[in-house]
Amino acid sequence: MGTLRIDSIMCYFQHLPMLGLLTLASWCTAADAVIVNAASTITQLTDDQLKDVFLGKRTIWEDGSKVIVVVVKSGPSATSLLTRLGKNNQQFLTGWKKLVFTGRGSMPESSATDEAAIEFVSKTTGAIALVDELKIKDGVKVVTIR
Amino acid sequence: MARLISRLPLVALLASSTAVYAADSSNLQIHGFASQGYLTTTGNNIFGRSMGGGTFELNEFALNATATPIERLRIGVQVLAYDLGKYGNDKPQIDWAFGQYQVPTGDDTYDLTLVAGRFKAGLALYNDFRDLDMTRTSVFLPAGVYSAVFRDVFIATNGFQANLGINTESLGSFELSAFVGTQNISPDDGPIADAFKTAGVRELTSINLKRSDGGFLAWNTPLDGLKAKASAMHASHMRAEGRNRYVVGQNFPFPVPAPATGLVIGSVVDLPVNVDLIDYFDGTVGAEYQVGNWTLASEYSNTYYKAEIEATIPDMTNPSTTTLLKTNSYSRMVGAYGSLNYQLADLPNPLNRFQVMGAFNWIHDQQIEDAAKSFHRGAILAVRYDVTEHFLVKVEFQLNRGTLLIDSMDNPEGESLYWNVFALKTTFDF
Repeated sequence: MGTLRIDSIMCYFQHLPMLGLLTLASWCTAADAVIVNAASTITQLTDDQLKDVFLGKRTIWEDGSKVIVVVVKSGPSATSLLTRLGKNNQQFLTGWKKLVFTGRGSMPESSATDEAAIEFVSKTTGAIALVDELKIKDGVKVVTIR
Repeated sequence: MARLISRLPLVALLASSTAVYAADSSNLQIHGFASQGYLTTTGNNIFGRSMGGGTFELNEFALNATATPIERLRIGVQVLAYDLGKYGNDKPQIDWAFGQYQVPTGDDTYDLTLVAGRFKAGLALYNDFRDLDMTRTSVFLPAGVYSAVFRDVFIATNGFQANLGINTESLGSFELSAFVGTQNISPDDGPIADAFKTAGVRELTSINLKRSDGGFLAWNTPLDGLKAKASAMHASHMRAEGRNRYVVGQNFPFPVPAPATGLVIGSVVDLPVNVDLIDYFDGTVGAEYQVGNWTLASEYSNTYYKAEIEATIPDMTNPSTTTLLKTNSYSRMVGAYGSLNYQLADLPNPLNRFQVMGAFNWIHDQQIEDAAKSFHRGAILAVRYDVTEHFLVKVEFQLNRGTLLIDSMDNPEGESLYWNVFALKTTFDF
């Protein structure tokens, strides 16, 4: 299926000081997936390519369409994304501001929930998001991460 | 449902957010920022008058718009106004305005983009972000590499740029960039105008740069968070024209050809004069390592320039003839800094939004014989607090020694070897 799974041990040490055990458990058992619009020609990405996309370094897909990054604002998917990128929230945000204020990038779309992100990706060519695998529905497809 | 998608950048765990006024869902985005600071110094004035009660002439305002009108083409413009003491004076200017086209390569391993217009050239690790207060902890970038004196040359280029990205399986990724162009440099105010005035063109009428070119090689190494970068820029024939009053024999920078011209020692002459900065070269190498909440950075720069000063002197005994006098000057500066930045985990707890940065930097002009005037050394301590994702406050303290970066015109009563800087700044962006 090519989903992104959080390493439970890493997750435990990273968030233990801040979170209750129930929340912790739900974070660490969540299965996340990178999704794109169902019509996209993208079927797989390398880990480095995934980072380039979500850090704004890659702005155009190979078919010429614009990369539209969608970020879930909070919750397990947001945390998974930051963990995957090796950034904290501030570093992630600063990186995007550097692009926006030098003209090299556009701010990602931001959604309140996984469902909203999935809905947006399903209707938008070039959109990509990292969401909870269990919430995926028609109109999107999962990208294999190599 | 698509309405639920907002452009509130971004992520996160911080509950607070600020409205972002952006655009239709597919294309146009509008962003901006506003910064206001306070600066005071002891020992020396910098950027004009900064001693005593200090100055609030420390701000930036910017507004930009970007769009992707057709596939692979990105266009945008940013208008910026800044005030840095006697420089800038909040006069709006085009900070960048360019079109960027991504060339289809048919291969994921390579990407090629072409840029035309006025753009940030990507010099050094942080030069593109000089005016972007929200991208760093400190108020000022370390002067050892990011001196304000040649800001206008570095800040953006009018011309063309090609960027080649190369992704490898085992060596990380590389970005190779080259540009050629020029700059619009105001003779009215700015650090370059001041540098030419110091060099002998007191009443400037024009500054023209024939060409600037350069590029960079950036390497995102296989070690997560470690990147290295080397960049270089060459400017040729930056020519300032104007006039100056000289007292012959005292501050006259040329060998006096008297009695042929009839110049009398001690007499005052008002002469057309120009300074041609024939070659200006700046090369920088540096690395940044970001691991967890820590960021370690260091850069080394080498700057060289050769200038030729010309004055046309009328023959006092025969005003219809003139004599062209020339003299040369050189400068070679080396500078470096090392910095360490720590971010507290930026989770919703308001106590966890601090960043602390410490740095040491130095710069040395090898051509200046006066010891105090030949170098600058400084220690920087800065603390930043993010009130929200889009609103921050910061404070910075510097302990400095040496007067290389001090403009004598700002300190007519003399310069102090030891001097300190205290700065406060707040920034809002959307």
